[in-house]
Amino acid sequence: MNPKFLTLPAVLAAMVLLQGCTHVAAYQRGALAKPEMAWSPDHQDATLQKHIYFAKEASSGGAEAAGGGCGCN
Amino acid sequence: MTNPTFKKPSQRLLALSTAAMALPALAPPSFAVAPTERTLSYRYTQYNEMSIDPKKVSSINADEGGGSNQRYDIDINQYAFSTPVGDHFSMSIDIQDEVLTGASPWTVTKEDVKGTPSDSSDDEIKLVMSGATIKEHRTEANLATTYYYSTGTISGNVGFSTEDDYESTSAGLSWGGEFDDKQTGVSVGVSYSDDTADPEEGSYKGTELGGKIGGWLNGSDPVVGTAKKESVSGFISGSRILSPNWIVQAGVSYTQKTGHLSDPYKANDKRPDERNLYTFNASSRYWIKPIKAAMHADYRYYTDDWGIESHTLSLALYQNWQKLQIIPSLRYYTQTSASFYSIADPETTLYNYYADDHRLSNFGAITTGLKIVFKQKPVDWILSGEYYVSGADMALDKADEPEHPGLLKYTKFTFGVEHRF
Amino acid sequence: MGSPCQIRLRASSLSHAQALCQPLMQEAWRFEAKYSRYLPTSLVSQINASAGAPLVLDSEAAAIIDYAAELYQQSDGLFDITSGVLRTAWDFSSAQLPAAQTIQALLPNIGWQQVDWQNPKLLLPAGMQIDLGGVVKEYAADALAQCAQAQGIDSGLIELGGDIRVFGSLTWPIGISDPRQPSRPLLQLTLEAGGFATSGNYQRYFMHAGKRYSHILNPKTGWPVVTPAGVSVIADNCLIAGSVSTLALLMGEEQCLSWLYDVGLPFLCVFNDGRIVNEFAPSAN
Repeated sequence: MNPKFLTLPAVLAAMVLLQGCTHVAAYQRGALAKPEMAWSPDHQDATLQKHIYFAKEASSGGAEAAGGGCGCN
Repeated sequence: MTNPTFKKPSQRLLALSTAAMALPALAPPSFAVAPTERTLSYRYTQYNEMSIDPKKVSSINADEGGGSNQRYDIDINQYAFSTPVGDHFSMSIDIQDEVLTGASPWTVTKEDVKGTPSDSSDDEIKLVMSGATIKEHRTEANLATTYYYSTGTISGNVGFSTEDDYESTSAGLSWGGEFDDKQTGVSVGVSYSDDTADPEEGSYKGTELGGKIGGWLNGSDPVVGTAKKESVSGFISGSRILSPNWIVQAGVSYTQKTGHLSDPYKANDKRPDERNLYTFNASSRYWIKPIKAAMHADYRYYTDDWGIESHTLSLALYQNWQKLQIIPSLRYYTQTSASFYSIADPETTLYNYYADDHRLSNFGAITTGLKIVFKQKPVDWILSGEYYVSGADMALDKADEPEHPGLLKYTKFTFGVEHRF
Repeated sequence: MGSPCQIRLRASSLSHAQALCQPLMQEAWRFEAKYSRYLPTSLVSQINASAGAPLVLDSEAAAIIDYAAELYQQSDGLFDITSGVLRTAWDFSSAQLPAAQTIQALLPNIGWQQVDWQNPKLLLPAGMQIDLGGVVKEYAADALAQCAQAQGIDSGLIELGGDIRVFGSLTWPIGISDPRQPSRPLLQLTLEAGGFATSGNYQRYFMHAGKRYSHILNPKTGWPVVTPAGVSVIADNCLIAGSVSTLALLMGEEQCLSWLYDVGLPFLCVFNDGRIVNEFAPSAN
């Protein structure tokens, strides 16, 4: 496993977990709640994309739980 | 004048705010809120791979019905239904049904201009294709359920996929928690899948091409009975609200695949029986208030012990305009080849493993897409189109190998409708 | 509520906005019916008539009482919902000072520390009364805003007698009048989302021997607090804005500034001598 693989996640983890330096009040989070701001606004589209790239490229897998496979060629 | 923004609240204010949050109208919106409406949604997609330039296809097996230059055309129907169940649960069902026609590449061969097998490096590498007689029907179903509690969620899912000669079962479990006034989210999950292949239809039978292929023919990884493979995977990710308009996420995952990992439909293919892979991903969602648009950026890094390293960068802009949402998107992908991949010099492959599958070659790809959503509560209509091209010259790290003739282009068109009630 | 209220909404269609005004007003009246001490059928009146018997409160009322208890802690006992009985001693329309004995006689019936509150069970000793005036109106503004948002209203302003809650993507203009001359505007500002509340001594007070006695009474002494003329606060929501402005007033003219700076929210403080401390933002005019 490539060691440099962990440096970028470590830096981003530090940034992400920097608690207490900003506080965004609950009433200010309106924009974040919009459906187009979701991680995956279109679940069916995302599922199909993942399936196609799994069948056409070599690097499947990621942050979500692994789905089923297929005999796609 | 601007509102109070990101000053760290004083102790007094924090105490008052905490007490206020207990009141129903002031509870902060959380990542994990049980949905209040049901959704029924349908998509129809037409996926078409562009035919290969006939000059790139070998006619070496044309007599046996092979040598088609057609690639896949797939018609896909997707159905989804999701609903809240009580105050703390939600459930969803996803069904995908597809019909696939087309030919697939079995291997590559070197031929001179007259179509005679050759060993010369001056001559072209061509695809040896199956006949265009394959017609496959695949159905997949996935059931998921989520439990919502005050500071997080627990989700589980099971899935099943079946086609003529292939079956796959999968299951996953994940937990998501919220911290620091729900500004930080942490997510952890594991999943498992189990595949069984019984390759007959369309798979290569070694005797057909023996002696005819120019260059080499090592044979495929024999399948005795059925080919089984398993995959176990785990991930951790964290997300953070950085400002009223910006949320970011990063995560890592590890997967181990074991079993018959070689491709039983290829003439020259013998892969290790284990594969360990790692991914790192980072995502950003930013709301551009002046134009009322959401900017999506996603990056993914992948590396495995087969020697493949890839980068994926996806960008999309969700632009609101009256009753429409217009979403242009762009994806750039690049990967290095597997250590045992070769089409030019087969004797250099390692450990007796070899593959000439274009999907394990060094290449880059770009996808451009446009989606339009018509919002007509309670029904949304969706139309989208996408164009994908791949090539060895599009890779970030170019390899010292000729481009695999099987690298493809495709178009994808989708029509969909979504009903909330 | 006894004071002018307004609801201003902006939605994608006029009919949608109009259709929503009625339910919102009904929700406002629901708060009044439940928490007004003037209505004999209200929950507060029931509590006040309980004569020492315990009552089990619903989750909304229990959360409001919890919040009032927190305000009591934060103000070191100056904000006390049991201090309502003092109004029987002070008649602000007659400008007459009550006799010291009258006030002394009332003091034993005041003091949140005497109340047995174990969420959701409330036991108010006989002779004591509660008044949720400093909490419910502000919370109601927030509740109405949340109700409107849940119904898909794009942006709006809810005002219940000077306590304002704003939400959505628009900015709304808010005017503050001079607490010493209410018809005169003092400051104009715009608010995009959040709560705005003003507490002052100009509405109910009387002058006696050259001193201005506000209607804000110290529950420990029974006497009015010498409060600043007016304090306006901006916060995440109307409840916090209202609580902080009320508490600032209770701190009195001497302590209110240091208390407000300690809390850290944007505020405007007008003193009885006309001095103004504007801590809203550099760009306010």
